[in-house]
This record gives sequence, structure tokens and C-alpha cells, in this order.
Amino acid sequence: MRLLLLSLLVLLSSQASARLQVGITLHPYYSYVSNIVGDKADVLPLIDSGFNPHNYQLNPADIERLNNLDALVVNGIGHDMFATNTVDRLQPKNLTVIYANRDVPLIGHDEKVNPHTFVSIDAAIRQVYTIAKELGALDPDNKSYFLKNALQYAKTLRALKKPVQQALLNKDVSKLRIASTHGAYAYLLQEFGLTVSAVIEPAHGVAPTASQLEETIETIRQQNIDVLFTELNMENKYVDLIERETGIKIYYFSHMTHGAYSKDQVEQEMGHNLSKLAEALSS
Amino acid sequence: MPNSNIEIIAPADGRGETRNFLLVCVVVLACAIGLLSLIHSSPQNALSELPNQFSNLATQVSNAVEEIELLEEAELINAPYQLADLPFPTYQNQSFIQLDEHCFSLFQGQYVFVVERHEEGWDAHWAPSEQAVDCHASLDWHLLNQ
Repeated sequence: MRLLLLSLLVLLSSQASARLQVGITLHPYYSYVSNIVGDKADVLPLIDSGFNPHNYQLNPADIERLNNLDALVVNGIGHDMFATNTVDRLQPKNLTVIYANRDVPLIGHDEKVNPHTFVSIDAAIRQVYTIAKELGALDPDNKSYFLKNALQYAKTLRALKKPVQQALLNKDVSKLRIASTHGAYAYLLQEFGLTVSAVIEPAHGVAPTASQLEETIETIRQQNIDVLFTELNMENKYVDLIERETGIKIYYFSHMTHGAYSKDQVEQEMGHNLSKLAEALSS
Repeated sequence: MPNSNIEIIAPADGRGETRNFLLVCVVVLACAIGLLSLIHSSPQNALSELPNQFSNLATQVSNAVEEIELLEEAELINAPYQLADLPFPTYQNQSFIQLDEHCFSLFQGQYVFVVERHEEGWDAHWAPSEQAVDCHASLDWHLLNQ
């Protein structure tokens, strides 16, 4: 009996250690990977929630965590350089780095890539497929399971587009002029044939100076901007000033890199973004 | 008694020092330019040559190719392939057309997108083009993310 229990324990522990340990750097990748792997792997944020990805530096505990991973899913095009720089430098043994944006046709200006592919539906789906294929290569026994889940998750994400597609029915948006506080929404808006006419913040989370703000207000007036999309969870006092000075309508979008990591964060927050977009288009 | 055998050294005109100084400046500048160009010429993520406004179309085509492969793997689609069975996107009321059993194409403005079934699997490309062409046209073909 004791021998049987011992064998069972050994079997269970070997199964537990065989589960893929998949690290992620940013919140949306937690949702993507959790939906792909289901209960067949462990998804581990490289760092605790509440950090600012633009200025974070990995500490020894993060690096220890990094060394215990089988795979690390990264944005890899500028939004998680705190991780990619360290991985490039340390090159941890046995770690497969999955560059989620490997297959995404990227948007950019002046040779600079826009890294916000995760604030999007189609670019998110493209990343989900890339991640699922790479995880399937690492765990061939669960490859079909991962791909099937990826396909199902893509369907779920695509369904989120419906409110905006309905708002766009029989609506001419060619004259709609849009501004955003930073360039995070270019991928999302392009999915619906919309383009951003003006970006206000000089860099993410950096408030414009008084003269830049004055210029922005002037640009909004001159270009007859109709709506301004700004970011939830960011203190943007200057946005209120723009609203007062120009009378422009302001809508708040989630950047999806705040709060607790969760499997359904992308569904929830993209759902919010798309309902706000539908509201903006219907008004 | 002072020694009358004094060696007179002509004052340096500074030309040698100036030459050395300029040489050092040139070397430092050359090194700096070399290092900067190295940093500049190896961006991790080169931007696509495809204009920004087609980024989403290219992404949707790329997603469609993945989904076709998965559908085929699940034996939900088989040869001979029919356009109606394949989940291609439309773009500004333009749809993909089937040019032969294995070649599908969408012409949009000055760009053409093609999806083709090879022996090994499916792949997709885009190219600048003034007209609709088939998958084997001699054009400057690019992968969707390049």
C-alpha cells in the first residue's frame, strides 16, 4: 500500500514538473496564454502587477523566476524592453522566447514601430496563433489542444467587434476626425477604417508642456477634431483642459496593462473599449 | 664659468601637434559614426514596406491563412478548394477572387495580395502592382509582415 502511494506521488510530481511553465511580460499576454493553454500549463507573470512597463528594471527575484521558465512570451517590439533586454543579455538556458509579434504586419512612423498590437482584435488574434504554434512545438502532446483553444479564443475576440460593426452600418466615417492622447489605438482604429489625425502626448504617460498643450488645442480647432480617445487609469488633468477649451468629446479606452492579471482581462477591457468606440461613432 | 656649448632648439611650430590632434579627432569621429550606424542599422523590428493603411488587411489575411491551415488539419476543408469555403477578409467592398485551384488574389489600389496552396502548405504575399495578377506573376513579392 505504501509503495502504491509512493508511486502515485512520484507519478503526480513528474506530471506536475512536465507541465510547461510559461512566463509573460504584459497583462494581455497573460490572457492570451491562459486561454490557449487551459489547464495544461502554468502561466506566470514575470513581475507583479502594478509596475510601469516603460521604466521597470528586473530585480534578482524576477531573474530567478526567469530561470525557472520553459518559455517567455514577449511583446518584443518595444513595450517590454525591461524583459527583452535582460533576456538578450543573460540568455537563460532552456528558455524559449516567444516573440508574439513575429508575424504581425506592424504600423510605424519615422522608422519607429508602434508596439501596441495588443490593443487590437486582429493583431491580438495574429499573436494568439503565433503563441499557440510555438507552445505546441514545445509541448507536442498538447499541440492540437492549444491550437483548438486558440481558434476558439479568436472567435470570442472577433465577436467583440459586433457593437462597432453595427454602429458603422450605413455610417460615413470618412469625415470623422480623431485624436488620441498617445499612439496606442492605431491598430484598433484601423480595423474599423478609422485613422488618428493627431496624437497629443509627446510620449506615453508624459504630459505635454504648456506650449505643446497650446499647440494641441490649436491643432484640434484647426483640424476640426470630433473625438479624443484617452487612457483609463492615467492621470490626464490636461485632458479636462482640452475638453473645456475645445468642446471636444472625450472617450476613455483601456490600455490593458493595469490591474490584476486575469484570463478574461482582454475580453473585458476590449469589450469596454469597443463599446466606447461604438458610442463615439453613434453620437 | 658657464658652458658656452649651448644647444639651441628651435621652437616647435605646432604643426606636428596639430596634425596628431586632428588625427585623434578623425579617429574618434570615425569610431562614433561606426558605432552609431551599427546601432541604427540593426533595428530589432524593421518596419514593413507595406503602407500603414494596409497593416490591418495584411493581418487579417495572415489570420485567414492560419485558420485555413487549422480547418484543413481538422479535415473541414479539402482540395479542390472553393473560394466560398475559405475565410478570406474583404477590404472596402473588395473580395478575394479565385484564379486557379490553388491561387487566390485581392487587388487593392496599387497593391496585390495573394494566398497560395503549395505542396507544403499555405502561404501569403503582397506586392506593389498596377493591376490584378496571379500568384506566379514576376513581381517584388513580400511576406505579409515585411
